[in-house]
Formats: sequence, structure tokens, C-alpha cells
Amino acid sequence: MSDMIPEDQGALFLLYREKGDVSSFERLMDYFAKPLYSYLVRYLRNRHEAEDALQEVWLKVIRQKHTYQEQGSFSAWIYRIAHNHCLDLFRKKSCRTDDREIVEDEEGGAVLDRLPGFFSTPFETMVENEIISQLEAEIALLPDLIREVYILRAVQGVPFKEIADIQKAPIGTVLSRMHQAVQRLKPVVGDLLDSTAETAG
Amino acid sequence: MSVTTLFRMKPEPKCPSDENVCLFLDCPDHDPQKQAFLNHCSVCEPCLRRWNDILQVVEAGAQLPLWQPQPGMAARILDQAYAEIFPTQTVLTLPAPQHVSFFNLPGWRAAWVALILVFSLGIYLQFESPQSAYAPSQKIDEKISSLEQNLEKLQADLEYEIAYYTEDSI
Repeated sequence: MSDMIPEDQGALFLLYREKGDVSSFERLMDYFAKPLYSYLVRYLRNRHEAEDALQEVWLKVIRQKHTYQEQGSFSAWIYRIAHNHCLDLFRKKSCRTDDREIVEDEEGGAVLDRLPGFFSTPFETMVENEIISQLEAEIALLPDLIREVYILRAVQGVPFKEIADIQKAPIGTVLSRMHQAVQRLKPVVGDLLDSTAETAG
Repeated sequence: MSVTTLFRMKPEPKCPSDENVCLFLDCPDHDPQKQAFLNHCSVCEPCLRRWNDILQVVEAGAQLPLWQPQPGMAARILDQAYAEIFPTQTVLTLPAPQHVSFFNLPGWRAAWVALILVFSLGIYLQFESPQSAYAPSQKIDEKISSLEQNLEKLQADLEYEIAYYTEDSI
């Protein structure tokens, strides 16, 4: 995500939208392919759904291209489309997403049962070591919006202000979600670091 | 006797809330507020611990791998992008022409075709029959006249030969 500044992303998209330059669109697709797909896999917790969602998100980008405003960040705009698409999927699957239920969602163990394909063999082959695998499992247990904030900020490096735009939430709410994610992942990361230190020692 | 302090200690800033500590992740290192917080951490162990926890959890997330989607997907999406930019006109596809014969026409169409054929034949015969009736007689006349000419020629030859042989016999 470091070889293209945000202004370039917006300019490339405008080239596609205004001049019909599909090669610009292709460059954007190349650039966002990995981050967007990884975000969808972790947020939806299902590889197959993430592939379908990725295609749908790009088709929405094409169909809704006139809704992009030049002043805004392109990455925030595309993540916002992806976020809305995921929320639609959650609603269809009657997943719980609002804050009240997130606070009550403490029985994380049950979440693993509704993750078809996430820990399947092909996926696990991609995970090279146990630390990453355990952390992935813990992230998957986080409630939806908290998980999204953590993925966007920690994994993708999206600033909190943009995450607030993506989730259409006040920045205080986003920071609070990040704090909750840190609280829930802290013991896991601490244990993992301790075990790594013991192994190294 | 009053005691005056030589050095006045700068009051320690209040410990920021957990949310605000998270916000320092987005601040550049030279940000004055972040600098103040980091200075505060050097004397406040709970804040230092909170900051380290956040850093550890965020850095652990940054180590997670990013995955590549299937290569065929990009091609499908690009096709759609091209289709949006260059929309193709819909081509009206006609059904394949069927073999039409007089026998598989509907009854009323067959009647019309037959009527047109009868009219056409009548008109053709109307204009063609006088010529065709005249032509054989003219040909016969021409034939008779040529035959007559041939006959006259033969008679002339015959007379010449008779005269020749009679002169020889004399």
C-alpha cells in the first residue's frame, strides 16, 4: 500500500470515469486486489464468500462510479462500498452487528462453528506459522464491527478518520471499538509473544 | 519567613483516556501531543503499559499476510468495466429461415400464390400467342420458297445436262 499515494488513486479513478481509461482502472484493481480481498476474507470469515463479495464490490464501484467525490479519499470510498456490502450480507444471514449485541456477544466460541471454509485445509496451508494462525482465529472471534476496525487499522493501515467515514460512525466510537479489540487480543498476543520468547530462549 | 521555591515542577498531564491513546497511533512522531504523551509514559507506568499493549496488538496485526484473489476474477471484472465504457448495441437476432414450399404454406397464402400464377400465365399467353401462332407459318413460307428456289435450280441444271448429252449424241 505504499507505492501509490491517495491522490494517485483518486486521479486514476477519475481517468477511468471521465476519459474511459480502463488501464487506470486495471492499475487500481491490481493495487487494491490483495488488501481488499484480505479485508473481505477476515471480515466475512469465509474465503468463498469473500471472492464473491470482491467481485460484487468492484462491480458496484463501476456502477456507482458517479457517486465518488473528487475531494474524498478513494480508499475510504471503496472500503465503504465493501463495508456496506458486508453489512448487507450479515443482514441476510441475520448476523448481529449493532453495538448493543456486540457488547453481549461474549460467547466467542460459538462463532467458530459458523465459519465454513475459514479453517479448511487450503486456507491453513496459507498460514505459515502457528502464531499467525492463532491470531487469525482470535480475530475471527471478535464481533463484526470491532473486527472490522482492527482489520482496517492494524492489518490494512487505514487511519481512524477514514475508518469513521467507512463505518459512518463518530471517531470516538471507532476508537472505542479499537480499544475493545486491543483488550480482547492483548492476552492472546501477550501469550504468543511469551511462548515465542520461551521457544527462542 | 517565607520559603520560595527555586524550581517549579511542570504539572504532569492527566492520563489520557484509552480511546485517545489509540488515536496517537495515527499521529506522526513529531506531533506535540504525542510527544507529551510519550514523555508522560516515561513517568507513568500504567500509561506506558497501555501504550505497549496497543503497539503490540497493532504490530501483530501488521504481520498478518495479505492474500491474492483468484487471477480469473480480475479478468471478469475488467470485462465488465469495458462493457460499461463501451456498451455494445443489442443485435436483433432473426430466426433461421425455414425452407418454404408451396405445400407448407397456409391455405389462404397458397390460394393467393395460385391466383397470381394464373393471372401471370394468362397475361403471358395473351401477349405471346399471336407471335407463336405467326411464327410457324412464316417459317413454312420461307422453307417453301427456298425449296422452290432449289427446285428451279435443279431444273436448270437438269436442262443443261440434257442439252449437253443430246449435243454429244448428235
